[in-house]
Amino acid sequence: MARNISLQRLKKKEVRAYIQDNGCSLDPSLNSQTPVNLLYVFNKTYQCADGKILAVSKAGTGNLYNSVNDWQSELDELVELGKREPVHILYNQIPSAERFMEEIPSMISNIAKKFEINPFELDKTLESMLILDKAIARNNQLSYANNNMEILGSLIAYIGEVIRITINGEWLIKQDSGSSAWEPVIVAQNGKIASFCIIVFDELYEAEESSFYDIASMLIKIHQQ
Amino acid sequence: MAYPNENWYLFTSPARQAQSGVASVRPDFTERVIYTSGQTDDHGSFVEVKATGAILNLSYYRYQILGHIDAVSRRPAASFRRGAARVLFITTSDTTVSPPDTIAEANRLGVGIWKAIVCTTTQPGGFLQVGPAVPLNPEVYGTSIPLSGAAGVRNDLALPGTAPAGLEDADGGY
Repeated sequence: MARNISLQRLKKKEVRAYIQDNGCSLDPSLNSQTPVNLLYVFNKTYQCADGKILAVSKAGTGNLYNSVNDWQSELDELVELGKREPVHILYNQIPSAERFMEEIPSMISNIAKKFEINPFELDKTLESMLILDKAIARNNQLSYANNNMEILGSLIAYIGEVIRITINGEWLIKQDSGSSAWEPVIVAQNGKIASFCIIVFDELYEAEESSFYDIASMLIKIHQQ
Repeated sequence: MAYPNENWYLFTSPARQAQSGVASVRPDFTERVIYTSGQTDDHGSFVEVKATGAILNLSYYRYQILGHIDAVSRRPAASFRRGAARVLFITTSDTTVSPPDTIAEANRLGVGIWKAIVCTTTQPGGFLQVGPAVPLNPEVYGTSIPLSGAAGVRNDLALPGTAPAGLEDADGGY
């Protein structure tokens, strides 16, 4: 999604203060242009004396746009977003199945670069996951979601390497029956398969606090049994 | 662990994007909705598994619940009839799924909210069962709640690492 729109998210208190301090008044004509599915977020729309547009959600939080144009652009982008078909979580995140294994080193070096970690610290040991956890937590405080999604593939590659080395396993490209989808997994010596891409995704994308160290520890424990 | 039949797809949610900057949701599973007219939607029902002990209001984890309701309301199943598109929460008993804001938004968008509770058996080994799914906003269906047959109890969720094939039958079907 192209995010060139200047947007400031306001908490409840900030919304109340902004409305009071900036002469904002409800604009029913803007509200009437809001698609039904977005009426929770854009519950009330205000025009402010400084030319900005404040959209207030039912929860009382707000999105502050620099202009009517920015607000309209946001609505247009959201409408387009809603038309998109579902996408596989690994789409555009990892190289093709043929190239995945050969690109593991470069994916790992990307993660070191992204988080400004000394590459020597990412030595593929379980302990190195703690360094990665700290770096990701630091990154989450600065920015979230879109930045995180940039590292999903690299994180899968790195955690996979940690697991593979610890359990003396091997990478395998597992093809999904009935579709062209595939996932990289680790096969242990005892034949157990560690399928972990979804767990990494959820931890990165949907967890309150990420701990990839815990995930790697759990998978190693399970696959050593 | 990744479970058999686990959902690998992200469904866009403009509402979640606008509210929190996260553009999509990944339900743990999706189910096919088959309507009496013969219309089908392979992903018309979202299944979300939560063992958090939390209150799943709309703002729960960066508006994930708002995202589920918004995303499923955009599925073809939503056009079959009110409540045909739904979110089924499979939870521990201490997870609250029906705070007023969640139910109000689901009703506004015509989405069914269902809940099934995971229990353990008294047998040694701690087998898990998923109890019958129940609608939490039956009002979305008007006077005809689409429950057919007796509610089912699944007892094949033996241990983490396995999951029922055909989870869609957990509620006895509709």
